[in-house]
Amino acid sequence: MTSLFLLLVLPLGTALHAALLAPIVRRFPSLTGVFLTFLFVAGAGSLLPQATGGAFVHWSIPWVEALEIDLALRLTPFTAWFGFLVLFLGGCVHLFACTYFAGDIRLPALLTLLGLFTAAMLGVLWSDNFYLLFLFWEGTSLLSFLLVGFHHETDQSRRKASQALLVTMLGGAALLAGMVLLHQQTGTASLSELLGLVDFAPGTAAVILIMVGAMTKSAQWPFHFWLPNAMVGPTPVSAYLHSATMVKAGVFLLATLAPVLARHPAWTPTLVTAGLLTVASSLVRGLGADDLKTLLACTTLAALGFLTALAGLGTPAALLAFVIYLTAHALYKAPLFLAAGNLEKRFGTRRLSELGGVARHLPMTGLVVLLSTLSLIGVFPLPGFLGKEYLLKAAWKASPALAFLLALAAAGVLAIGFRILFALAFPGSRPAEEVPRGMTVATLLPALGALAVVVAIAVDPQLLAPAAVSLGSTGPVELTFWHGWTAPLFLGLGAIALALVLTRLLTVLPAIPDGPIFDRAFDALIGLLRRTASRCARLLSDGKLVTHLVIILACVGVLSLLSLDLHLWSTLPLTWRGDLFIFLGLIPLLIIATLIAARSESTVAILVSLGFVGFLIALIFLWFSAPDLALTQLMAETLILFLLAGALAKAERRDSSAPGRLRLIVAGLGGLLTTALILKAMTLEWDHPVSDFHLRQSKPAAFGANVVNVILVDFRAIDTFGEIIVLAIAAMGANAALGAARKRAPLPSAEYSPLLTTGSRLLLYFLIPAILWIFWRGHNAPGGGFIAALLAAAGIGMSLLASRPRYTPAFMRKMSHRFLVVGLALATLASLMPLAAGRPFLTGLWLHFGGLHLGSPLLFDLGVFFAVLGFSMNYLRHFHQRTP
Amino acid sequence: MELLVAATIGLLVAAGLYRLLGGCRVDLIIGLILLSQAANLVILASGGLKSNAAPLVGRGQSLETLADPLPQALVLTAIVIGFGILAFLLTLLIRSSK
Repeated sequence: MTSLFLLLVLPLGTALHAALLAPIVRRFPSLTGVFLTFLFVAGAGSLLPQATGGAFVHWSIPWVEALEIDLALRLTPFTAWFGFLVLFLGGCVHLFACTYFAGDIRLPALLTLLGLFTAAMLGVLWSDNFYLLFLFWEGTSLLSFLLVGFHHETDQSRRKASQALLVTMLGGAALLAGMVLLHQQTGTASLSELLGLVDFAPGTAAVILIMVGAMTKSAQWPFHFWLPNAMVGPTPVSAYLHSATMVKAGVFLLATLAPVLARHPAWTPTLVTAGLLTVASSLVRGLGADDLKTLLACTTLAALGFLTALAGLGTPAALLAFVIYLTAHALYKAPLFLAAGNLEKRFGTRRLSELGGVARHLPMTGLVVLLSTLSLIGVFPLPGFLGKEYLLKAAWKASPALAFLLALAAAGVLAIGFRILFALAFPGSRPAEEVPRGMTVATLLPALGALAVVVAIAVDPQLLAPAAVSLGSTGPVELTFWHGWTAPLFLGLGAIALALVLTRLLTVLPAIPDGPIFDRAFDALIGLLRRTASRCARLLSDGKLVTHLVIILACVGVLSLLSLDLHLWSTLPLTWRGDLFIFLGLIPLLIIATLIAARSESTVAILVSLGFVGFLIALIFLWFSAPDLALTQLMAETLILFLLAGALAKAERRDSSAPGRLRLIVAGLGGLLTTALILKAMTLEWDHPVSDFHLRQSKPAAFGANVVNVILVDFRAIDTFGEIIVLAIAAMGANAALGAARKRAPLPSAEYSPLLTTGSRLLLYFLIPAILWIFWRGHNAPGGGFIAALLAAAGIGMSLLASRPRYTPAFMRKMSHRFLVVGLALATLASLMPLAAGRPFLTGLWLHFGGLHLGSPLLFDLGVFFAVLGFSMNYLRHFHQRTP
Repeated sequence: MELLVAATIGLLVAAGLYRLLGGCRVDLIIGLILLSQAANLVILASGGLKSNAAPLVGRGQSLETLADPLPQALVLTAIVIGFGILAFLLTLLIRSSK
């Protein structure tokens, strides 16, 4: 099992090697090529014993157990055989790439991508877990995007690569959905367990989704258009993508799941139809084409169509045919693509009409082209012959009509093969010399592999039997070249004859115009998507804050409107208490101040009205039994006014405003909705378990009578701790945004009132004991660290306004930083002290001196005091310097 | 009484929204001040409004009659954090109008 894991890591290792040792790779490309090829071919060879008779291997370690995602690998003779092809052809492609890109600075990048791609493909083949398979599957999509778009400097390359990515990723999403459905239905995410289910009827949605996923990957109709476009990638990439990897992942999955999913009635008709349509559309495009790579891509499409049809049939005979057809195709398609690369390198063109008779001038490449094209056409005894023979045999067994249709379709593909053969082998003559040896060897290797397979099958007809059996084939599984004068043989011969006639006709008839309707439809779809998206974006985002705000507010409003239960309103406790009249005096003032704050344009009016609003709200707090809030609010309001005065004086006037009517409507609706929501909240009767706990435990557990302060510094001290940290961060943010104080010039001396200067000093003497007193009493009466700190800051602000010489910018800066640090340190100390005593974080530790209780919460409150003071001073100094 | 308080908060919210949509940065800050005042009142009001019932225990009042201390603790931190946010916003205002 270790060897399987090692083989999966091998291409990753070569990728890493190419990436890390890029200079060496660039310096010695051919040496690298030989080395990598040796590794890959050796790895492939180590799989052969498994492929031709080994037992099933299963290896699994848990990964995300809650989602049943395991790192599970499975090796059957078929996946071993497929892995052999991937690694073997991977070796050839690496060798070819190293020669083809010798001297190119991007060779290491290409090798890295190729290595990763190989690993992803092997992962797809060997994963036993649905989700692991999906990850590798997406990996192949992503890496093939990077490989196809390798020449990303051209626009066309980018466009076609992203088309391939979009189509295959769309299919990937469908595949994932289908796998989740299968997982839900069967309760297992393991592929081998799924295949072991005997009487399981797969759900329609799952089957359709999985088919869509595999069909996009294998470029089946109607998703076939991306594959011919993907040829913009470098030649070695095309050779690899088309022969053993990427597009084969789709048909691999179909064939693997066929024994189970073919039980669904939609499976066979859909896949056989899609396969035939793919062959047909490949012929429409391929019969008239002149570009060698396009021709080859169209034959790939056709082969994938046949393979899909075979997987669709899913019968034992079809699966046997699948194995041999897949092998044959991989072994002739790779050398053909590589040979096309050789020809292009040597003659500078890929046009068939300009490459007449070149085979004779490149003896080795020519031989490979001859051999591989003959295999494509299916000439005895090449692997292609076996593939075609067993394909027709399996189809004949299922339905003679289908076999007839397949033979007809095959004739078209064979005609393409004949065109390539005739054009390259016979007429014309061009002088040329052989291409670099590495490329020739790389082209020759897979062709030799094809011959080796033929010999091996001739020696041992059971060679691929284990692979076919492990895929689900039963009955006679040996491969023989001669079955007597059977119908499939005649069909095959007929196809060859028809293909010859077709080839003859093609030279006479005008070429069918190349009509990439699907390509254009895809572009139109993507264009539509883009336009819709940009229209939506323009509609929702016109770059104005007001628009965003209105949209957000409207959404919040609609959501809260939905939560209003109007029938609850009858229980609203409307009370008319005696103190209402006192209250009535306060509300009109608040309304007037609010209206002025909302409407006024003058800075002074805004400041005064905002101050009024704040102070009146402090009175409301006081009225409704919240003295701590009232004190905090008073202090905060004072400081806010101080800061606002500094900031607003310089700010600019309006630039863009919402239409007046819209403003009024939004504001009015918002106000009404808030009122309704508050009334609704008041109608609800709920328990207060948390509040009751705090009220009950405040005195016995935390030795404090002021429950609000006890909550802040003891029960919920961790929230307060977080809060002072936020304040410290905000202080640092201001320093970053406004710069250090000492860099700025000192303030110009202004006229200051002597009354204020003297008065503020007097006031400060009274303030210090008051601050100490408020801090100290906080635990038992309204007061505490927050309020004391804000009071101290207000006093300092006052002194700043009075321009006391002591409060220089440098002093303020130094003190504010010290206070922040001391505050955070004290709070941290108070929260860590209990740990030393073996108690949980932030537990209160207490010392009792008769009626006096000293504890770590008091220390914590002191930390809060210093942190808030430091924070406030930091802002005071910034804003004071901006007061004109 | 409750109706009056709720209507007052509604007015504060309306004033805040009106300012918020004013379009310039000063409007934004004033709107946020008004909205945060309103939000503090909403939290306090949602815990129930009681007079002469400050949550100070051990003064002979039974615990059931005292005001809910939890919203008060929340609002207290909200006032301080609101102050912090406002200060930071003003920093950005100054920075952007340079």
